[in-house]
Amino acid sequence: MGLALLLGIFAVGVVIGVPVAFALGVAAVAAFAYEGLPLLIAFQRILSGISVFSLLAIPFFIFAGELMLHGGIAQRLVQLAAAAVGSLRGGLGQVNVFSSMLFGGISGSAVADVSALGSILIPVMKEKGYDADYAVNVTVTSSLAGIMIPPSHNMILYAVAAGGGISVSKLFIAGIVPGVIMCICLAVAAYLVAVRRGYAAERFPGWRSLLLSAATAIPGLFTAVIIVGGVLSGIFTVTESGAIGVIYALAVTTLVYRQLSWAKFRIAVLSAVRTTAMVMILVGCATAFAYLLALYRVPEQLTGALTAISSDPIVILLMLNVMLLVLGMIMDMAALILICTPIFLPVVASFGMDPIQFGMILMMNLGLGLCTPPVGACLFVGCAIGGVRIERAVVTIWPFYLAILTALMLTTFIPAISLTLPGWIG
Amino acid sequence: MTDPLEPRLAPSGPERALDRALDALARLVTLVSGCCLVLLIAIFGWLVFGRYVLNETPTWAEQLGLLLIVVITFLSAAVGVHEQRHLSVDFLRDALPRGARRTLMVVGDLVMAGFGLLMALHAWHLVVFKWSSSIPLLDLPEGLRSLPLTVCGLLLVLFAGSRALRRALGRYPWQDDHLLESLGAAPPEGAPLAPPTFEAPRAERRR
Repeated sequence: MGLALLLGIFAVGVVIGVPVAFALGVAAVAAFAYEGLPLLIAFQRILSGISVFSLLAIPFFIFAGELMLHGGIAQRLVQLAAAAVGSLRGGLGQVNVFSSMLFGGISGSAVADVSALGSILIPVMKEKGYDADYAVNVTVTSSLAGIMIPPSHNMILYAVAAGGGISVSKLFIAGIVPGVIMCICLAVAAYLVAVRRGYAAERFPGWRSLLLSAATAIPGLFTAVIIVGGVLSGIFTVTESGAIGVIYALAVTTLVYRQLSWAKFRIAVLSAVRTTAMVMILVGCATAFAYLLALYRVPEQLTGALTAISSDPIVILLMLNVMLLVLGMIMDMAALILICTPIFLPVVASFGMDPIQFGMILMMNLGLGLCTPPVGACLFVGCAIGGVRIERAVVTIWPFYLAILTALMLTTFIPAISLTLPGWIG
Repeated sequence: MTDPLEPRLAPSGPERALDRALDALARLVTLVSGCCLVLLIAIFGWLVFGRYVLNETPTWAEQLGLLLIVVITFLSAAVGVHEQRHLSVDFLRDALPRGARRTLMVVGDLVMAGFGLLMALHAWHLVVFKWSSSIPLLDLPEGLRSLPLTVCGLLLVLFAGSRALRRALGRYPWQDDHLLESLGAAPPEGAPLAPPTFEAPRAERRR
């Protein structure tokens, strides 16, 4: 009954439009009250969910993304991508995917990726004769690189949700190959659609121009090297790396690029705290919610239910993928990571799957949910920037969904894709 | 094209004053959060500098960082409710007739205000209960850690409660017309799902 109350109140809250974070919090508080537990503990759980040292990296990554956008780093990454891959067929589509890989390597957030790169690239693509839906679809789906390519704050959430037994540095490095494979699949999809629609290639600007673009982008790209390198080398914790990354990005945007004015800095700070609060309040409320799910032994029940349907690991993995995809379509990623990890991780572990590989599968599944209606933050932002109605964008987005699903299936059934690089660092 | 934020029903003088006061409060709270973020970065910069250059790690940095993130989260989360920026699932509610939609919006705001009230009360108990013990390495009362929850709860009551009341009285149509658009409409600037990364926040544009 308590579990029904928890899930029921959450579902009703979400349906009537209560923000997901507060729907989770209200449901948790109601279940605590029903179980006769002091409500004080519910709020203490919310507080303790946020007071985790490694989560301090989240505001730093978000702020670094804001500085990139407002301080000129994002523009230079796009210029580099344009010089490198713009001469391919449907060149700006390729530029978009390549830029997302570079930008995702610093911001660690898909929504930041869409808003930063979309506001630069979508208008240019439309101006050059690309259909608006194509521009939006490429931007939205390629933004998932921000989740997979390190650093990714969602990986930190996963490490925390998994009980702290998984190394963040291993997760970071594990995301590289799946992220690159996903981007290659998306680039192929972008190319095929471009050929079908007859989009032209951009002129190759020449090697000199390419080298010049690379030289101007390198100081910005070095932010990622500092953050990821700091974590992997063990010099910094992930939180310290985030802070040092921000300080470096501040130095580059003010001293090297000279584009970060006081007004832009202020906007970046205020935007970062708003986004941080949105993510962290979800984290806190989802922690209290997940605590109750564990109390009601949901992970054990689900494992039993799934193994009753089939004992074939492939079938179970496919079922998990479908469940995660459906959940990702209707819920926010941060909350789902915190809720689903304790539930599904024991299930996959019982089939011998490595937690790092499951993390990659989880990221890709839930990331795809950011690009799908009815609740897809990346899709909504991309459509808003491109001035395209959501129903129009989703009619033509399927080649890109197929590309991500291809990468997802490869990551699900070929463990080496996720585990080879972490294996190298021991 | 009409501005979706343009008033259709002109607000009365006291309502304008209330709007201005709530916006000013939201701006102040966001500013405090912003200062906390800058301080957080400075602290961690100092932590690394202290460890590698001064060879003396400031042990208080971690605990102060945890305190600051709680302040940032809870204060700005309440402002997010005022600015309607939190992620929510609106498509089912938006499929209903206009009157039913408005009713559900009122209920949603009341739910958040009620949650805020409970949060304020119980978090205050936590503040009092833990005030006599200290945060390790900081020599500050442990109760301080729960104080932002109390403030957040009170702000939720204020922001969501006042909006619920005004929506119930039919006096809050001009700021949420975009919520009454059909599913699939491109969100206008400042809509809840648009992240604040590429446009000025709504409260600032209104100024």
